[in-house]
Amino acid sequence: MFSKGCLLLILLTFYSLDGVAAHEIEGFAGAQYTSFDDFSDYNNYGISAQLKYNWYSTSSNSGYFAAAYLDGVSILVGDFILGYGWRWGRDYFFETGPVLAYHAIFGPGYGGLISFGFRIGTSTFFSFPCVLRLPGYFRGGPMIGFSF
Amino acid sequence: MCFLFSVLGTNVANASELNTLIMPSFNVASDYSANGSLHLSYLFGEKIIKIGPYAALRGAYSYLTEKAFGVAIRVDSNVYYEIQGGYFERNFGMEKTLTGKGYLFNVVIGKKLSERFAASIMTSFQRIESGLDKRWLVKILPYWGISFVF
Repeated sequence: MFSKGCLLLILLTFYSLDGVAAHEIEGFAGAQYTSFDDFSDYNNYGISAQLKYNWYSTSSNSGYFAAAYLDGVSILVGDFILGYGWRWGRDYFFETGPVLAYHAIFGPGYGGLISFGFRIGTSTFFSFPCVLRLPGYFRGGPMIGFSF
Repeated sequence: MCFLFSVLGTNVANASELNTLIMPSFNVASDYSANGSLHLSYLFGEKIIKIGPYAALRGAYSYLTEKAFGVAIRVDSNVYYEIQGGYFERNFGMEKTLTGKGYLFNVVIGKKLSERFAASIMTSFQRIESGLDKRWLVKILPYWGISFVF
């Protein structure tokens, strides 16, 4: 039942994309490699990323967004989020909205997003999205965003 | 030595610049983890080459902290290049605190997005020589940059 609801939301998302004026992408990623002198069996590496793509209408300052939180365990172990957001402000903005999520370990879930940010150029901004996801986590972290 | 004094003598003026690179984040799931990192460089110079002290502090999880201090050198332009290097220390505390000591150097490539803000990519090479198992840690992370001129 829940998975059918997610599929319906995804289909509605793509159906309603006609006429959306602004696209934005926000992201943050990192990588690390550790090499031990005396215990090479424990050498390890990791890559993690957080991505958020917004289909926001400039007239209503709201729209759908999709996000992925990839924690670096493997490319398949991540939380994939779909939500609808409302944004207030332009140079300094506040954003919030409900989300549906699916994680390879936690399974399906729901929650909400709050974010704040500020523009640093005509098409660039910093943001700090925070996601409460049940079951699962409450997390937040910085992102760099581009409008196009 | 003479060349170094010559460069500083002509370039040290009121255009000192405090640069911060900030990366806070947090995650509360079955347990709590938070990751905050702060890199500070205070650069002297009006020309394209700037130099000054550097310090860094990072807290990751409730039992891991890192700190570093040394020198930063920047080739300053709209796209800037900065090398930071110096002493590095990593504290790992569970039942007791273990302290690893060594050195690091960071290579930063950044772009100024406005008068005060920048985005950058930092590649950090950290070496632990004593106190913990000897190792190299290499990290690549983006940072927000905020600069203050005074």
